[in-house]
Amino acid sequence: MLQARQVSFIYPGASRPALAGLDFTLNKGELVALVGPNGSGKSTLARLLNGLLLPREGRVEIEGLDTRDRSALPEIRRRVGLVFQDPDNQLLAGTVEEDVAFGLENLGLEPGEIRRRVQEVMARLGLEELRECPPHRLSGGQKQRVALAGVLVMQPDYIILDEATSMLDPVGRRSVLSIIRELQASLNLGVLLITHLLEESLLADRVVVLHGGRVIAEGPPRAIFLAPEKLAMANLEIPEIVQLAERLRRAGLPLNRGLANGEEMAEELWRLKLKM
Amino acid sequence: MEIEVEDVSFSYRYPGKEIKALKGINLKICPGELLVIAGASGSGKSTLAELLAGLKLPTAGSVYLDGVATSARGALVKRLRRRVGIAFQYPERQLFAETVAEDVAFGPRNLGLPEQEVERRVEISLLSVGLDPEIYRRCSPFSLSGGQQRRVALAGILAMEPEVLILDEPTAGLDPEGRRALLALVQAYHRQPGKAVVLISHHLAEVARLATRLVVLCRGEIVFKGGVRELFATGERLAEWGLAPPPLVEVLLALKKKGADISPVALTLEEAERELLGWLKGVRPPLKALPH
Repeated sequence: MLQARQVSFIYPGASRPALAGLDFTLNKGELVALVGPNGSGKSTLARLLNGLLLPREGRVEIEGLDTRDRSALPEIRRRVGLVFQDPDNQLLAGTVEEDVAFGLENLGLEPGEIRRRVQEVMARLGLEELRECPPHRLSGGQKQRVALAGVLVMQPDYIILDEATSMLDPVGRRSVLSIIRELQASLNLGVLLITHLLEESLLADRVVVLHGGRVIAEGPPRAIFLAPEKLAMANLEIPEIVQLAERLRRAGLPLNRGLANGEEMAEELWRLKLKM
Repeated sequence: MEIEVEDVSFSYRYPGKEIKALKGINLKICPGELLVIAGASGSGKSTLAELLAGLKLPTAGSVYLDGVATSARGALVKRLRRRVGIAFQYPERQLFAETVAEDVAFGPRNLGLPEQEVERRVEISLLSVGLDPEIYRRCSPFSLSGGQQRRVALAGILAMEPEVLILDEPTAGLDPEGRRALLALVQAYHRQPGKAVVLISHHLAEVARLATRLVVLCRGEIVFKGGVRELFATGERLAEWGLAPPPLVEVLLALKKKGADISPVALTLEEAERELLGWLKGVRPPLKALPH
């Protein structure tokens, strides 16, 4: 379990804390979406969870390893992989393949094992064709898949995606999200998906809404969508599908509450039509 | 200014191989337009943007700025190139000065404009991106939020008073409020006489409604040119091109695919609602609860 208990954090020189007495847990095999406006503390939490930042008050623990324990940090960072919004900060090597292998080489694994793991991850993320390309020549979306591969290859227990899909086109985003979903299930990975996009949070098991360094709402996605005042408070937009369902209900259609994606909505409308 | 792209191809060369990024592109951009260039990642959008701004030269074909090829030499093409402003992805990465005012003044000062004119442009550009010069001019750009930094970077481009403004994924990574503010300022810029905007985006739901015209790139080729309604009417081809339809269009498309007699074109919630209720009421008598 990845756990933050009563965590507060304030940046040097800042007038108010970025996080104030925050409790948060992420279990293995669970996908949690963290949503909230810029400045709400999302990225600060991400950096606290793998020990890049240390709490001023409270504690952060990964399977009992405390991030304040310096000797535990290398192990914590292997177990908790972080993919940032801006892939350029994460790509270093001369080719895609070398970049994906970079972290593994630092672990001192034998070359055959490194090659096997790198190939497997590149295949999962559809990067084989780009293996020889220099990362700086890739498009933003391609770079982000390389950065993700570099984290996955370390075989972490938890993975934190800090706006990591924001540069992907919608189709690329969906495919990466479905890969993450699959990894979460097959590897029992705990995933924290940090996003501005509420519709992205739909595939999560649980949504946490952050505002002003505090959790203002938490629950399954559908329950969160039914609390529009909380979403408005956190400056989040209610997905159009949810708005459309609301309009149709007001027009008298007996639609289920909590419809939140296009496919489901089309299914439901089709069923209604057949009954008419 | 008019930009004309004639039979343009562009290749990136890697050791031992060549990747064609753009093939046979023909395109014209006129004043008053807000052209959206859409496409999946890797489709060639950003490359096309750099060709339009004269920052890359075509491998074949030509890009003309008011009739002068960007590959020409001399002072004239240099002058013309300055009239095209381009904001790359994450333009805030290029902020460097100690104060916001200094950063915005950098471009106009390089043009050799008198200090008074530089000052006027700094004021106007900061105002037009929604940052009060009185409050922000002496701030360090690095003390600002991500959304504000991006607006400072745009102010620096607007201070050059370009006639064509090219924006590559300008809203990426901003929160909903930041995105709305940024698109509003792009629209305000576009409304000025004689200006054209080229907006590069893969986010159809966000930008399609703003466009006067759209171009879709797929694997380096233009596969669609036209208006937003025509684009949505292409239906399932959107997915083939690597574009996700906006959510409302997605619902209508899914129903159409099941065999519903329905148009997939809806730009607003009202339109989608009308289309759906019309279809539901169409074949059989309306539900009692439905309004007329």
